[in-house]
Amino acid sequence: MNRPKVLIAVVALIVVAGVTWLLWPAGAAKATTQQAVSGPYTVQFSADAPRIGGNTFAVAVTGPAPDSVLVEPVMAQMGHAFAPVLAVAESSGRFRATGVALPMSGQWEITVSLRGPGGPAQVVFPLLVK
Amino acid sequence: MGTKSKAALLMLLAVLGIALAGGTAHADGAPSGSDIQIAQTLGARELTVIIRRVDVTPSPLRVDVVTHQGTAPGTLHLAVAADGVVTSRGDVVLGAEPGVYAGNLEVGKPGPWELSLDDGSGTTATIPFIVPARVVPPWEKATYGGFVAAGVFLLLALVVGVRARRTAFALIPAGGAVAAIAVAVTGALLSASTPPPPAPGSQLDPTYDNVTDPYANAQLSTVDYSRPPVNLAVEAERGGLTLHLTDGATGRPVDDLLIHDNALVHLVLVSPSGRMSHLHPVRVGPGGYRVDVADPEAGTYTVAAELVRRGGGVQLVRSTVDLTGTAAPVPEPAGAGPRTVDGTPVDLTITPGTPTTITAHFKTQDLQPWLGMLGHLIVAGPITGQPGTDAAKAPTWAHVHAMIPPVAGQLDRPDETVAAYGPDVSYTYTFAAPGRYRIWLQAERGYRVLTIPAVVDVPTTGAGR
Repeated sequence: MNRPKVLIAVVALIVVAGVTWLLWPAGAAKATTQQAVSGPYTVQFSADAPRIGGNTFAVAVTGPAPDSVLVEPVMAQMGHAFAPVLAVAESSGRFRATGVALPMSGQWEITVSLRGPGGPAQVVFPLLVK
Repeated sequence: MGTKSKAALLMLLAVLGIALAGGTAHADGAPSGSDIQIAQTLGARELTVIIRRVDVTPSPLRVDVVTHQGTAPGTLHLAVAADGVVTSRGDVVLGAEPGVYAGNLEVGKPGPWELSLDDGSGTTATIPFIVPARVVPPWEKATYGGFVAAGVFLLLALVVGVRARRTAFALIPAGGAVAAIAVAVTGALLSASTPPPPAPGSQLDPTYDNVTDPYANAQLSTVDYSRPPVNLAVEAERGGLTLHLTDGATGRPVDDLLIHDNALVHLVLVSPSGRMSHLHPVRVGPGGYRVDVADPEAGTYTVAAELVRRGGGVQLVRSTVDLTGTAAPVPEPAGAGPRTVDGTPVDLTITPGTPTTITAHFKTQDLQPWLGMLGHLIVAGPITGQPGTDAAKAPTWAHVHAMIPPVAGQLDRPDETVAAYGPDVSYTYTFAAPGRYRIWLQAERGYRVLTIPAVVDVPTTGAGR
Protein backbone atom coordinates (compact mmCIF):
# COMPACT_ATOMS: atom_id res chain seq x y z
CA MET A 1 0.00 0.00 0.00
CA ASN A 2 2.68 2.39 1.05
CA ARG A 3 5.21 0.93 -1.31
CA PRO A 4 6.04 4.29 -2.97
CA LYS A 5 6.77 5.78 0.43
CA VAL A 6 9.01 2.88 1.31
CA LEU A 7 10.85 3.26 -1.97
CA ILE A 8 11.26 6.98 -1.43
CA ALA A 9 12.61 6.24 2.04
CA VAL A 10 15.08 3.82 0.46
CA VAL A 11 16.15 6.53 -1.98
CA ALA A 12 16.61 8.97 0.88
CA LEU A 13 18.67 6.37 2.72
CA ILE A 14 20.92 5.92 -0.32
CA VAL A 15 21.40 9.69 -0.56
CA VAL A 16 22.34 9.92 3.11
CA ALA A 17 24.73 6.99 2.72
CA GLY A 18 26.32 8.65 -0.31
CA VAL A 19 26.77 11.98 1.46
CA THR A 20 28.23 10.23 4.50
CA TRP A 21 30.68 8.39 2.26
CA LEU A 22 31.72 11.63 0.57
CA LEU A 23 32.18 13.55 3.80
CA TRP A 24 33.72 10.75 5.87
CA PRO A 25 36.98 12.04 7.35
CA ALA A 26 39.83 10.25 5.62
CA GLY A 27 42.54 8.57 7.65
CA ALA A 28 42.03 10.01 11.11
CA ALA A 29 45.23 9.52 13.15
CA LYS A 30 46.11 6.01 12.11
CA ALA A 31 49.23 4.27 13.28
CA THR A 32 52.03 4.29 10.74
CA THR A 33 53.79 0.98 10.33
CA GLN A 34 56.63 0.58 7.90
CA GLN A 35 58.89 -2.33 7.13
CA ALA A 36 62.42 -2.60 5.80
CA VAL A 37 64.91 -5.40 5.32
CA SER A 38 68.65 -5.10 5.90
CA GLY A 39 70.89 -8.12 5.88
CA PRO A 40 69.40 -10.80 8.13
CA TYR A 41 67.01 -8.39 9.86
CA THR A 42 63.45 -7.53 8.99
CA VAL A 43 62.54 -4.39 10.89
CA GLN A 44 59.05 -3.07 11.48
CA PHE A 45 58.69 0.45 12.73
CA SER A 46 55.51 1.98 14.08
CA ALA A 47 54.81 5.43 15.36
CA ASP A 48 51.44 6.23 16.89
CA ALA A 49 50.35 9.56 15.37
CA PRO A 50 53.75 11.26 15.22
CA ARG A 51 53.59 14.72 16.74
CA ILE A 52 55.71 17.67 17.80
CA GLY A 53 57.28 16.85 21.16
CA GLY A 54 57.93 13.46 22.76
CA ASN A 55 57.13 10.40 20.68
CA THR A 56 57.05 6.69 21.29
CA PHE A 57 58.29 4.37 18.59
CA ALA A 58 57.86 0.62 18.51
CA VAL A 59 60.45 -1.47 16.69
CA ALA A 60 59.90 -5.13 15.92
CA VAL A 61 62.88 -7.12 14.68
CA THR A 62 62.70 -10.57 13.14
CA GLY A 63 65.90 -12.45 12.43
CA PRO A 64 68.86 -12.76 14.79
CA ALA A 65 68.16 -11.04 18.11
CA PRO A 66 69.99 -7.71 18.26
CA ASP A 67 71.95 -6.69 21.36
CA SER A 68 71.02 -3.06 21.05
CA VAL A 69 68.55 -1.01 19.06
CA LEU A 70 69.09 2.71 18.66
CA VAL A 71 66.67 5.21 17.21
CA GLU A 72 68.33 8.19 15.57
CA PRO A 73 66.09 11.03 14.37
CA VAL A 74 67.20 13.46 11.64
CA MET A 75 65.30 16.53 10.53
CA ALA A 76 66.05 16.10 6.83
CA GLN A 77 65.16 19.57 5.58
CA MET A 78 67.08 21.35 8.34
CA GLY A 79 70.12 19.09 8.18
CA HIS A 80 69.87 18.52 11.92
CA ALA A 81 70.66 15.14 13.46
CA PHE A 82 69.66 14.39 17.05
CA ALA A 83 71.40 12.23 19.61
CA PRO A 84 70.39 8.54 19.44
CA VAL A 85 67.74 7.20 21.80
CA LEU A 86 68.04 3.65 23.10
CA ALA A 87 65.05 1.44 22.40
CA VAL A 88 64.33 -0.79 25.39
CA ALA A 89 63.55 -4.47 24.85
CA GLU A 90 59.97 -5.32 25.86
CA SER A 91 59.87 -8.91 24.75
CA SER A 92 61.72 -11.08 22.28
CA GLY A 93 62.29 -9.00 19.15
CA ARG A 94 60.15 -6.09 20.37
CA PHE A 95 61.66 -2.78 21.36
CA ARG A 96 60.20 0.54 22.40
CA ALA A 97 61.84 3.95 22.34
CA THR A 98 60.04 6.50 24.48
CA GLY A 99 60.44 10.25 24.74
CA VAL A 100 61.99 10.69 21.30
CA ALA A 101 61.85 14.45 20.86
CA LEU A 102 60.80 15.69 17.43
CA PRO A 103 60.69 19.45 17.94
CA MET A 104 59.16 20.55 14.64
CA SER A 105 56.76 19.50 11.92
CA GLY A 106 57.97 18.31 8.55
CA GLN A 107 59.94 15.46 7.08
CA TRP A 108 61.88 13.40 9.61
CA GLU A 109 64.00 10.40 8.88
CA ILE A 110 64.37 7.90 11.69
CA THR A 111 67.40 5.64 11.43
CA VAL A 112 67.08 2.41 13.36
CA SER A 113 70.55 1.04 14.16
CA LEU A 114 70.89 -2.58 15.13
CA ARG A 115 73.93 -4.22 16.67
CA GLY A 116 74.29 -7.83 17.55
CA PRO A 117 75.42 -11.27 16.45
CA GLY A 118 73.70 -10.75 13.08
CA GLY A 119 76.08 -7.87 12.40
CA PRO A 120 75.42 -4.15 12.38
CA ALA A 121 72.61 -2.80 10.23
CA GLN A 122 70.90 0.49 9.69
CA VAL A 123 67.48 1.07 8.20
CA VAL A 124 65.84 4.42 7.64
CA PHE A 125 62.13 5.12 8.03
CA PRO A 126 60.63 8.38 6.81
CA LEU A 127 58.23 9.99 9.24
CA LEU A 128 56.04 12.99 8.61
CA VAL A 129 55.19 15.15 11.59
CA LYS A 130 52.16 17.37 11.06
CA MET B 1 -1.17 1.24 -6.97
CA GLY B 2 0.54 -0.49 -9.86
CA THR B 3 1.36 2.75 -11.64
CA LYS B 4 2.45 4.36 -8.38
CA SER B 5 4.93 1.64 -7.56
CA LYS B 6 6.16 1.60 -11.16
CA ALA B 7 6.83 5.33 -11.01
CA ALA B 8 8.64 4.97 -7.68
CA LEU B 9 10.68 2.10 -9.03
CA LEU B 10 11.61 4.17 -12.09
CA MET B 11 12.74 6.96 -9.83
CA LEU B 12 14.79 4.63 -7.69
CA LEU B 13 16.51 3.36 -10.82
CA ALA B 14 17.14 6.92 -12.00
CA VAL B 15 18.71 7.89 -8.68
CA LEU B 16 20.81 4.75 -8.65
CA GLY B 17 21.93 5.54 -12.19
CA ILE B 18 23.03 9.04 -11.17
CA ALA B 19 24.81 7.72 -8.10
CA LEU B 20 26.65 5.08 -10.11
CA ALA B 21 27.60 7.60 -12.78
CA GLY B 22 29.01 9.76 -10.01
CA GLY B 23 31.07 6.79 -8.91
CA THR B 24 33.07 6.78 -12.13
CA ALA B 25 34.70 10.01 -10.94
CA HIS B 26 37.49 7.77 -9.66
CA ALA B 27 38.60 7.10 -13.19
CA ASP B 28 38.92 10.79 -13.94
CA GLY B 29 41.73 11.49 -11.46
CA ALA B 30 44.70 13.43 -12.75
CA PRO B 31 47.17 11.43 -14.81
CA SER B 32 49.33 10.06 -12.05
CA GLY B 33 52.21 8.32 -13.72
CA SER B 34 54.65 8.47 -16.55
CA ASP B 35 57.48 6.32 -17.82
CA ILE B 36 60.68 6.40 -15.78
CA GLN B 37 63.84 6.39 -17.89
CA ILE B 38 67.08 5.79 -16.10
CA ALA B 39 70.59 5.25 -17.45
CA GLN B 40 72.67 2.60 -15.69
CA THR B 41 76.32 1.74 -16.23
CA LEU B 42 76.04 -1.83 -15.00
CA GLY B 43 79.34 -3.67 -15.29
CA ALA B 44 80.64 -3.13 -18.83
CA ARG B 45 77.16 -2.38 -20.16
CA GLU B 46 75.66 1.07 -20.63
CA LEU B 47 71.93 0.47 -20.36
CA THR B 48 68.82 2.59 -20.33
CA VAL B 49 66.13 1.11 -18.14
CA ILE B 50 62.59 2.25 -18.86
CA ILE B 51 60.00 1.49 -16.18
CA ARG B 52 56.69 1.87 -17.96
CA ARG B 53 53.89 3.74 -16.28
CA VAL B 54 51.51 1.91 -14.00
CA ASP B 55 47.99 3.27 -13.59
CA VAL B 56 46.23 0.78 -11.35
CA THR B 57 47.47 -1.84 -8.94
CA PRO B 58 47.87 -4.77 -8.89
CA SER B 59 49.23 -4.61 -12.37
CA PRO B 60 51.89 -6.02 -14.62
CA LEU B 61 55.02 -3.88 -14.67
CA ARG B 62 56.82 -3.67 -17.95
CA VAL B 63 60.51 -2.88 -17.80
CA ASP B 64 62.30 -2.16 -21.07
CA VAL B 65 66.07 -2.32 -21.22
CA VAL B 66 67.72 -0.41 -24.05
CA THR B 67 71.16 -1.65 -25.05
CA HIS B 68 73.80 0.18 -27.06
CA GLN B 69 76.46 -0.67 -29.63
CA GLY B 70 78.97 -2.97 -28.03
CA THR B 71 76.66 -4.15 -25.22
CA ALA B 72 77.43 -7.78 -24.59
CA PRO B 73 74.52 -10.22 -24.92
CA GLY B 74 73.45 -11.92 -21.71
CA THR B 75 70.70 -12.20 -19.15
CA LEU B 76 69.67 -9.62 -16.59
CA HIS B 77 67.81 -10.83 -13.52
CA LEU B 78 65.18 -8.32 -12.51
CA ALA B 79 63.21 -8.20 -9.28
CA VAL B 80 60.87 -5.74 -7.63
CA ALA B 81 60.56 -5.37 -3.89
CA ALA B 82 58.31 -3.40 -1.56
CA ASP B 83 59.08 -3.09 2.17
CA GLY B 84 62.29 -5.00 1.49
CA VAL B 85 60.42 -8.09 0.33
CA VAL B 86 60.81 -9.28 -3.27
CA THR B 87 57.39 -9.91 -4.78
CA SER B 88 58.14 -10.54 -8.41
CA ARG B 89 61.09 -11.67 -10.53
CA GLY B 90 61.77 -11.79 -14.23
CA ASP B 91 64.61 -12.12 -16.68
CA VAL B 92 65.53 -9.90 -19.60
CA VAL B 93 67.57 -11.63 -22.25
CA LEU B 94 69.78 -9.10 -23.99
CA GLY B 95 70.61 -9.89 -27.58
CA ALA B 96 73.72 -8.99 -29.52
CA GLU B 97 71.91 -6.31 -31.53
CA PRO B 98 71.43 -2.97 -29.79
CA GLY B 99 67.80 -2.19 -29.16
CA VAL B 100 64.96 -2.65 -26.68
CA TYR B 101 64.57 -5.82 -24.64
CA ALA B 102 61.48 -6.25 -22.52
CA GLY B 103 60.95 -7.78 -19.11
CA ASN B 104 57.68 -8.33 -17.30
CA LEU B 105 57.16 -8.10 -13.57
CA GLU B 106 54.23 -7.37 -11.31
CA VAL B 107 53.49 -4.76 -8.70
CA GLY B 108 50.80 -5.37 -6.13
CA LYS B 109 50.23 -2.04 -4.43
CA PRO B 110 51.00 1.64 -4.74
CA GLY B 111 53.87 3.23 -2.82
CA PRO B 112 57.67 3.08 -2.84
CA TRP B 113 59.22 0.14 -4.70
CA GLU B 114 62.71 -0.93 -5.60
CA LEU B 115 63.71 -2.48 -8.91
CA SER B 116 66.92 -4.49 -8.86
CA LEU B 117 69.02 -5.53 -11.84
CA ASP B 118 71.59 -8.27 -11.49
CA ASP B 119 73.90 -9.10 -14.37
CA GLY B 120 75.47 -12.05 -12.55
CA SER B 121 78.81 -10.30 -12.02
CA GLY B 122 78.26 -9.58 -8.34
CA THR B 123 76.99 -6.03 -8.67
CA THR B 124 73.27 -5.57 -8.20
CA ALA B 125 71.83 -2.22 -9.22
CA THR B 126 68.81 -1.02 -7.29
CA ILE B 127 66.48 1.70 -8.55
CA PRO B 128 63.93 3.18 -6.14
CA PHE B 129 60.71 4.20 -7.86
CA ILE B 130 57.14 5.02 -6.93
CA VAL B 131 54.02 3.26 -8.08
CA PRO B 132 51.39 5.98 -7.96
CA ALA B 133 47.93 5.54 -6.54
CA ARG B 134 44.72 6.85 -7.98
CA VAL B 135 43.87 9.82 -5.85
CA VAL B 136 40.57 11.70 -5.94
CA PRO B 137 41.23 15.29 -4.87
CA PRO B 138 38.79 16.76 -2.32
CA TRP B 139 37.50 19.36 -4.78
CA GLU B 140 36.63 16.59 -7.22
CA LYS B 141 34.68 14.79 -4.52
CA ALA B 142 32.81 18.03 -3.77
CA THR B 143 32.09 18.69 -7.44
CA TYR B 144 30.87 15.24 -8.40
CA GLY B 145 29.10 14.73 -5.08
CA GLY B 146 27.45 18.13 -5.38
CA PHE B 147 26.10 17.46 -8.86
CA VAL B 148 24.85 14.01 -7.87
CA ALA B 149 23.09 15.50 -4.84
CA ALA B 150 21.62 18.28 -6.99
CA GLY B 151 20.16 15.68 -9.36
CA VAL B 152 18.67 13.72 -6.50
CA PHE B 153 17.17 16.83 -4.91
CA LEU B 154 15.71 17.88 -8.28
CA LEU B 155 13.95 14.54 -8.63
CA LEU B 156 12.76 14.80 -5.07
CA ALA B 157 11.42 18.28 -5.75
CA LEU B 158 9.50 16.98 -8.78
CA VAL B 159 7.95 14.15 -6.82
CA VAL B 160 7.05 16.37 -3.90
CA GLY B 161 5.63 18.98 -6.27
CA VAL B 162 3.37 16.43 -7.94
CA ARG B 163 2.37 14.38 -4.93
CA ALA B 164 2.41 16.59 -1.87
CA ARG B 165 -0.75 18.25 -0.61
CA ARG B 166 0.90 21.65 -0.89
CA THR B 167 3.08 22.40 -3.90
CA ALA B 168 5.11 24.82 -1.80
CA PHE B 169 6.73 21.84 -0.01
CA ALA B 170 8.69 21.30 -3.24
CA LEU B 171 10.71 24.40 -2.36
CA ILE B 172 12.52 22.48 0.39
CA PRO B 173 14.24 19.92 -1.87
CA ALA B 174 14.62 22.67 -4.51
CA GLY B 175 16.62 24.68 -1.97
CA GLY B 176 18.73 21.59 -1.41
CA ALA B 177 19.39 21.38 -5.13
CA VAL B 178 20.55 25.01 -5.21
CA ALA B 179 22.87 24.43 -2.26
CA ALA B 180 24.28 21.26 -3.85
CA ILE B 181 24.94 23.07 -7.14
CA ALA B 182 26.68 25.87 -5.21
CA VAL B 183 28.97 23.30 -3.57
CA ALA B 184 29.70 21.62 -6.90
CA VAL B 185 30.40 24.86 -8.77
CA THR B 186 32.63 26.19 -5.97
CA GLY B 187 34.61 22.95 -5.99
CA ALA B 188 34.98 23.07 -9.77
CA LEU B 189 36.01 26.74 -9.84
CA LEU B 190 38.52 26.34 -7.00
CA SER B 191 40.08 23.26 -8.59
CA ALA B 192 42.29 25.34 -10.88
CA SER B 193 43.79 27.37 -8.06
CA THR B 194 43.98 24.67 -5.36
CA PRO B 195 47.68 23.99 -4.73
CA PRO B 196 48.61 20.32 -5.03
CA PRO B 197 49.76 18.62 -1.82
CA PRO B 198 53.51 18.08 -1.32
CA ALA B 199 54.57 15.39 -3.76
CA PRO B 200 55.78 12.10 -2.29
CA GLY B 201 59.09 11.29 -3.93
CA SER B 202 60.21 14.70 -5.18
CA GLN B 203 59.40 16.62 -1.97
CA LEU B 204 58.59 14.13 0.76
CA ASP B 205 60.09 10.72 1.45
CA PRO B 206 57.60 8.37 -0.18
CA THR B 207 55.67 5.97 2.04
CA TYR B 208 52.63 3.84 1.34
CA ASP B 209 50.55 6.30 3.39
CA ASN B 210 51.50 9.50 1.63
CA VAL B 211 51.38 7.98 -1.85
CA THR B 212 47.84 6.71 -1.33
CA ASP B 213 46.61 9.79 0.54
CA PRO B 214 48.75 12.82 -0.39
CA TYR B 215 45.99 15.24 0.63
CA ALA B 216 46.42 14.20 4.25
CA ASN B 217 49.63 16.31 4.19
CA ALA B 218 48.16 19.29 2.34
CA GLN B 219 48.39 21.39 5.52
CA LEU B 220 52.15 20.97 5.84
CA SER B 221 53.70 24.39 6.39
CA THR B 222 57.04 23.59 4.78
CA VAL B 223 57.99 26.02 2.04
CA ASP B 224 61.54 24.88 1.30
CA TYR B 225 61.94 21.17 0.78
CA SER B 226 65.60 21.36 -0.26
CA ARG B 227 68.23 19.36 1.59
CA PRO B 228 71.88 19.91 2.48
CA PRO B 229 74.68 19.43 -0.07
CA VAL B 230 76.46 16.09 -0.35
CA ASN B 231 80.01 15.03 0.31
CA LEU B 232 81.53 12.69 -2.23
CA ALA B 233 84.22 10.13 -1.43
CA VAL B 234 85.62 8.30 -4.46
CA GLU B 235 87.48 5.04 -4.09
CA ALA B 236 89.20 3.15 -6.89
CA GLU B 237 88.70 -0.61 -6.60
CA ARG B 238 88.08 -3.71 -8.69
CA GLY B 239 88.41 -2.05 -12.10
CA GLY B 240 86.07 0.78 -11.24
CA LEU B 241 85.00 3.38 -8.77
CA THR B 242 82.92 3.23 -5.62
CA LEU B 243 81.22 6.44 -4.61
CA HIS B 244 80.06 7.19 -1.08
CA LEU B 245 77.62 10.04 -0.73
CA THR B 246 77.10 11.51 2.70
CA ASP B 247 74.91 14.36 3.90
CA GLY B 248 76.83 17.60 4.34
CA ALA B 249 74.98 18.42 7.56
CA THR B 250 74.57 15.12 9.35
CA GLY B 251 77.20 12.80 7.85
CA ARG B 252 74.60 10.14 7.19
CA PRO B 253 74.40 8.24 3.90
CA VAL B 254 72.47 10.15 1.25
CA ASP B 255 69.74 7.86 0.01
CA ASP B 256 67.25 10.32 -1.43
CA LEU B 257 68.58 10.95 -4.93
CA LEU B 258 65.99 11.77 -7.54
CA ILE B 259 66.17 10.76 -11.17
CA HIS B 260 67.42 13.84 -12.95
CA ASP B 261 68.02 13.93 -16.69
CA ASN B 262 67.38 10.18 -16.72
CA ALA B 263 69.97 9.17 -14.12
CA LEU B 264 70.52 9.14 -10.37
CA VAL B 265 74.14 10.27 -10.74
CA HIS B 266 75.77 11.66 -13.85
CA LEU B 267 79.43 10.88 -13.39
CA VAL B 268 81.85 12.55 -15.77
CA LEU B 269 85.43 11.32 -15.79
CA VAL B 270 88.29 13.09 -17.53
CA SER B 271 91.35 10.91 -18.02
CA PRO B 272 94.89 12.24 -17.49
CA SER B 273 95.26 12.86 -21.25
CA GLY B 274 91.72 14.19 -21.73
CA ARG B 275 89.40 11.28 -22.60
CA MET B 276 85.93 11.97 -21.30
CA SER B 277 83.49 9.33 -20.09
CA HIS B 278 79.92 10.14 -19.09
CA LEU B 279 78.81 7.27 -16.86
CA HIS B 280 75.84 6.47 -14.64
CA PRO B 281 76.85 4.68 -11.45
CA VAL B 282 74.42 2.11 -10.15
CA ARG B 283 73.03 2.27 -6.63
CA VAL B 284 74.38 -0.64 -4.61
CA GLY B 285 73.16 0.48 -1.19
CA PRO B 286 72.14 3.55 0.79
CA GLY B 287 74.53 6.30 -0.34
CA GLY B 288 76.69 3.77 -2.18
CA TYR B 289 77.22 3.82 -5.93
CA ARG B 290 79.45 1.74 -8.15
CA VAL B 291 80.70 2.15 -11.71
CA ASP B 292 83.13 0.18 -13.85
CA VAL B 293 85.80 2.08 -15.74
CA ALA B 294 86.84 0.28 -18.91
CA ASP B 295 90.53 0.28 -19.83
CA PRO B 296 91.75 3.21 -17.73
CA GLU B 297 94.92 5.25 -18.19
CA ALA B 298 97.40 5.47 -15.38
CA GLY B 299 97.26 8.75 -13.48
CA THR B 300 94.89 11.28 -12.00
CA TYR B 301 91.31 11.41 -13.23
CA THR B 302 88.89 14.26 -12.72
CA VAL B 303 85.61 13.06 -11.22
CA ALA B 304 82.49 15.23 -11.46
CA ALA B 305 79.13 14.04 -10.16
CA GLU B 306 75.84 15.75 -10.89
CA LEU B 307 72.89 14.75 -8.79
CA VAL B 308 69.64 15.96 -7.29
CA ARG B 309 68.47 15.27 -3.78
CA ARG B 310 64.87 15.11 -2.69
CA GLY B 311 63.55 18.65 -2.41
CA GLY B 312 65.26 19.72 -5.59
CA GLY B 313 68.28 21.61 -6.81
CA VAL B 314 71.03 20.13 -8.94
CA GLN B 315 74.32 19.65 -7.14
CA LEU B 316 77.75 19.28 -8.69
CA VAL B 317 80.65 17.79 -6.77
CA ARG B 318 84.13 17.59 -8.25
CA SER B 319 87.03 15.50 -7.07
CA THR B 320 89.98 13.50 -8.37
CA VAL B 321 90.94 9.86 -8.17
CA ASP B 322 94.14 8.03 -9.11
CA LEU B 323 93.71 5.00 -11.34
CA THR B 324 96.17 2.45 -12.63
CA GLY B 325 95.91 1.13 -16.16
CA THR B 326 97.63 0.60 -19.46
CA ALA B 327 95.60 2.63 -21.96
CA ALA B 328 97.71 4.89 -24.20
CA PRO B 329 97.19 8.62 -23.76
CA VAL B 330 95.30 10.52 -26.47
CA PRO B 331 96.73 13.62 -28.17
CA GLU B 332 95.08 17.02 -27.77
CA PRO B 333 92.06 17.16 -30.13
CA ALA B 334 91.54 19.69 -32.95
CA GLY B 335 89.28 22.73 -32.80
CA ALA B 336 86.55 23.35 -35.37
CA GLY B 337 86.45 21.32 -38.58
CA PRO B 338 85.30 18.02 -40.05
CA ARG B 339 86.21 14.68 -38.52
CA THR B 340 84.94 11.12 -38.26
CA VAL B 341 83.95 9.71 -34.88
CA ASP B 342 83.23 5.96 -34.60
CA GLY B 343 82.42 5.87 -38.32
CA THR B 344 80.11 8.89 -38.26
CA PRO B 345 81.29 11.98 -40.17
CA VAL B 346 80.64 15.20 -38.30
CA ASP B 347 81.60 18.82 -38.93
CA LEU B 348 82.17 21.07 -35.95
CA THR B 349 81.68 24.84 -36.24
CA ILE B 350 82.48 27.25 -33.46
CA THR B 351 81.03 30.76 -33.67
CA PRO B 352 83.09 32.76 -31.22
CA GLY B 353 81.69 35.63 -29.22
CA THR B 354 79.81 36.24 -26.02
CA PRO B 355 78.07 33.84 -25.97
CA THR B 356 79.82 31.27 -28.16
CA THR B 357 77.80 28.85 -30.27
CA ILE B 358 79.22 25.42 -30.99
CA THR B 359 77.41 23.30 -33.58
CA ALA B 360 77.97 19.69 -34.60
CA HIS B 361 76.67 19.07 -38.13
CA PHE B 362 75.84 15.44 -38.79
CA LYS B 363 75.04 14.27 -42.31
CA THR B 364 71.74 12.55 -41.54
CA GLN B 365 68.64 13.28 -39.51
CA ASP B 366 68.71 10.10 -37.45
CA LEU B 367 70.00 11.14 -34.04
CA GLN B 368 68.41 9.55 -30.99
CA PRO B 369 67.67 11.16 -27.65
CA TRP B 370 70.17 10.25 -24.96
CA LEU B 371 69.31 10.97 -21.34
CA GLY B 372 66.26 12.83 -22.59
CA MET B 373 68.36 15.28 -24.57
CA LEU B 374 69.46 15.63 -28.16
CA GLY B 375 73.00 16.35 -27.08
CA HIS B 376 75.28 16.98 -24.14
CA LEU B 377 78.34 19.21 -24.03
CA ILE B 378 80.91 19.08 -21.26
CA VAL B 379 83.19 22.10 -20.94
CA ALA B 380 86.24 22.35 -18.69
CA GLY B 381 88.86 25.06 -18.61
CA PRO B 382 90.93 27.05 -19.00
CA ILE B 383 93.33 24.10 -19.00
CA THR B 384 97.07 24.55 -19.24
CA GLY B 385 98.49 21.27 -17.98
CA GLN B 386 97.14 17.74 -17.74
CA PRO B 387 93.37 17.67 -18.35
CA GLY B 388 92.85 14.92 -15.76
CA THR B 389 94.33 17.07 -13.01
CA ASP B 390 93.28 20.50 -14.25
CA ALA B 391 89.63 19.82 -15.02
CA ALA B 392 88.94 19.10 -11.34
CA LYS B 393 90.00 22.59 -10.31
CA ALA B 394 89.27 24.52 -13.52
CA PRO B 395 87.25 27.70 -12.91
CA THR B 396 84.71 26.59 -15.51
CA TRP B 397 83.01 23.21 -15.46
CA ALA B 398 79.84 23.09 -17.51
CA HIS B 399 77.30 20.54 -18.68
CA VAL B 400 75.38 22.14 -21.55
CA HIS B 401 72.27 20.61 -23.10
CA ALA B 402 70.76 20.65 -26.56
CA MET B 403 67.15 19.76 -25.95
CA ILE B 404 64.75 17.66 -27.98
CA PRO B 405 62.29 19.93 -29.80
CA PRO B 406 59.24 19.66 -27.53
CA VAL B 407 55.90 18.48 -28.91
CA ALA B 408 52.96 20.47 -27.55
CA GLY B 409 50.70 18.42 -25.32
CA GLN B 410 53.04 15.45 -25.07
CA LEU B 411 54.03 14.81 -21.48
CA ASP B 412 56.18 11.73 -21.94
CA ARG B 413 59.47 12.48 -23.62
CA PRO B 414 60.50 10.27 -26.53
CA ASP B 415 62.82 7.43 -25.62
CA GLU B 416 65.88 6.27 -27.48
CA THR B 417 63.93 4.29 -30.03
CA VAL B 418 62.96 7.53 -31.81
CA ALA B 419 65.81 8.14 -34.30
CA ALA B 420 64.50 11.28 -35.96
CA TYR B 421 66.48 14.23 -34.68
CA GLY B 422 69.31 16.39 -35.98
CA PRO B 423 71.18 16.69 -38.24
CA ASP B 424 72.55 19.74 -36.40
CA VAL B 425 73.16 19.83 -32.66
CA SER B 426 73.78 23.30 -31.35
CA TYR B 427 75.04 24.53 -27.98
CA THR B 428 75.41 28.10 -26.79
CA TYR B 429 77.66 28.87 -23.87
CA THR B 430 79.12 32.01 -22.34
CA PHE B 431 82.78 31.51 -21.50
CA ALA B 432 83.69 33.45 -18.38
CA ALA B 433 87.42 33.92 -18.99
CA PRO B 434 89.87 33.73 -21.90
CA GLY B 435 92.00 30.64 -22.34
CA ARG B 436 92.05 27.15 -23.82
CA TYR B 437 89.04 25.02 -22.97
CA ARG B 438 88.51 21.30 -23.47
CA ILE B 439 85.03 20.45 -24.72
CA TRP B 440 83.33 17.12 -25.39
CA LEU B 441 80.13 16.92 -27.42
CA GLN B 442 77.88 13.90 -27.06
CA ALA B 443 75.01 12.66 -29.21
CA GLU B 444 73.55 9.25 -29.94
CA ARG B 445 73.23 7.67 -33.36
CA GLY B 446 72.53 4.03 -34.20
CA TYR B 447 72.46 3.18 -30.45
CA ARG B 448 76.03 4.43 -30.13
CA VAL B 449 76.89 7.40 -27.95
CA LEU B 450 79.34 9.49 -29.96
CA THR B 451 81.81 11.61 -28.02
CA ILE B 452 83.49 14.36 -29.99
CA PRO B 453 86.44 15.96 -28.20
CA ALA B 454 87.64 19.41 -29.26
CA VAL B 455 89.41 22.50 -27.96
CA VAL B 456 88.06 26.04 -27.92
CA ASP B 457 90.40 29.00 -27.66
CA VAL B 458 88.68 31.98 -26.10
CA PRO B 459 90.71 35.11 -26.96
CA THR B 460 91.39 37.93 -24.50
CA THR B 461 90.05 40.68 -26.77
CA GLY B 462 88.43 41.16 -30.17
CA ALA B 463 85.30 39.74 -31.79
CA GLY B 464 85.76 36.47 -29.94
CA ARG B 465 84.99 38.11 -26.60
